[in-house]
This record gives sequence, C-alpha cells and structure tokens, in this order.
Amino acid sequence: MKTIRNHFNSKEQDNNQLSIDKKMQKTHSEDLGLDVPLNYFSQSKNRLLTSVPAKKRRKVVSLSNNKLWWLAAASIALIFTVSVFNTNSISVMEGLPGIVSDTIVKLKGDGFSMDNFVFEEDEFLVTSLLIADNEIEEFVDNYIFDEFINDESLLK
Amino acid sequence: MTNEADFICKLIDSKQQDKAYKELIDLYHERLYWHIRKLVITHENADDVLQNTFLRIYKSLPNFKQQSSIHTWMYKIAYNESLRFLEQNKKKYHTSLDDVNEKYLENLVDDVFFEGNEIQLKLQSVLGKLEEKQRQIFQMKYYDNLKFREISDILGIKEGTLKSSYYTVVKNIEKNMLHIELFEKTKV
Repeated sequence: MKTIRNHFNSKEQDNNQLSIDKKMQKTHSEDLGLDVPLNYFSQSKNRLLTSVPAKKRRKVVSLSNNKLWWLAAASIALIFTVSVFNTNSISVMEGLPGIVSDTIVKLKGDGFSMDNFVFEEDEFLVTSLLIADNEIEEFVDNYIFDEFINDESLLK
Repeated sequence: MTNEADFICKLIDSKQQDKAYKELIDLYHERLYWHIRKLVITHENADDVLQNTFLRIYKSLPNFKQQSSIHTWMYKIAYNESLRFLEQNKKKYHTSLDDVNEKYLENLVDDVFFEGNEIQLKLQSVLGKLEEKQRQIFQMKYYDNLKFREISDILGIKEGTLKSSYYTVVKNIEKNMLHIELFEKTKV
C-alpha cells in the first residue's frame, strides 16, 4: 500500500523532508521572488497546532439536539398542562348540570372542601374493593344513605 | 512501517489524533503554504487561508473516503479554500475573478514579502497574463511538483487535457520570456 510517509521514524528521511521544504522555499524565492517573514514556518506550525484544540474545546453541543432534553421538556409541559386542566375543570361551573353545580356551591358555602369530598369518594372506592360481591349492593345503599340523604337532612 | 490507511486511522482515533495531526502539519504545512501563496498571491492572505485549510482538513478527516491519496485530498482542500477566499474578495471589492487575475502583478508588487528582481518580475508578469486555469496548471506541475493525475483530481480536468495544456503553457511562457528579452535588447 502506498505510504504517506514511510519515514516517520527515520532520521535520515526526516532530513529528506527538511530538504524538500528548503528546496521548495528556495525555488519560490529564487524563481518567483516570493519570501516569508523570518521564522514564519516554525511560528505558523505552532499556531496551527494550538488553533485546532482551541476550536475543539469551544465546540458547543446544542440543547435542541439532545433527545433527553426534549423528553424532559415534554414531561414538564405535560405535568403543567394536566395540573392546570384539573384546577380549571373544578372551578368551571358552566356546562355542569344544575343540580351538581348547586350542590358544589352549597358544599363550598358550608365549609366543605373539594379535597375532603374527593377523599371520601376515594375511601368509598377503596373500601368497595374489599366487599364481597353479594354484599356490594347493600354497601352502596348504605353509602348513599350516609353521604347524601343523611347529610342533606342534617343541612336542613 | 506506517502506511497511509494506518495513518488515517490514527487521525480519526481520538486517542492518537493529536499526535497524528501534528505529524500531518509537520509534513504538509510548508508545501500547502506555497501552493496557497501562488493562488492568493500575498503572504498575509496565504497565512489566513493556510489556517482555514488546516481547520477544514481537521473537521473533514472523519468524512475522508480515501478515494484519492491524503496528499491529493489536502491539496484539493487548500485549492478550494483559496478559491473561496478569492470569491469572498470578489464580493468585498465588487470585482470578478478576471479582475483578480488582472491585478495579479499589482497585488504581487504591493506585497511586502515579494522581493523579486527584474527576471523574477518578468516571469511573474508572463504568468499574470496567462488564463487563471493555465497558470494554476503550470504552478502545480512546475513548482508544487504534483503529478498530472493529482492535478487532474484537484482541478477536475482530464489528464490528457491537462498534459496538452501544460506543454502549451510552457511554450507560451518560453516565447513570452524570449519576447521580453528581445524587447529589452531593442530598447538598449
């Protein structure tokens, strides 16, 4: 295979390379009158060597290209949207049947918080899981009586 | 013994890259400087283009497909960077590439690092009168010691066309130099 510089480690061939460069400089200077500042090549070589690692360090990875970043942003947006939607859905009374909105207004006016209401409802659902099938009907009847009919009569 | 494929692997490998890149600069920075200098004429411009060329080489190394030798590939990048520089100058000063060609001698004489004597100035004036492409072919062959196959890769011109063009240019230069000498003699 063709070599780029078979003589990387050879002192003799390093000298050969040096002579090629010198010959080239001489030809350009003698034939074409082109010159370079004193020690230009040694200085430019150092500049070339330092400029590339500097560019490498300055490399910026855009956040927009990072999939993880996009996933995190999407999750935050989703959580935010869901929480806003839930809050609004409770406070918006329009569109609810009259009897439901009246009940909520009444409960709020009497110092009932929606959190308590939801908690009780959750408690009922959890308890219902532990009730046997043949007793579920009785459990539901009791719950309706306790929570709604009894509360309503107490409010009166 | 290091062959070209191994060397390219080293250039791409992040662990060995810096050392290999240093070797590449050692080997090529002077040659590429002279190649660029003849295209952009002044030392200051050649220095800028050389920096850009090595940055471009560094960035493009992972995409190097080894369709040509790394030697030819680097010359091609240097050539394209020089053309890009000339194109930018064209936009800057609202001149065409032909104007850049016409200003060849003017720019050369203005350069503080041009120290040409009478004969050198004569040769430069003859080169300045050649078509841009003809001058490039002549300089790449005569001064950069590139092979016709390599020049063909760089310029995208068929090897046969290049050869005939080169010999025509050489004859043209000889004729013009002789003409100038005769003209000088008749003045005396």
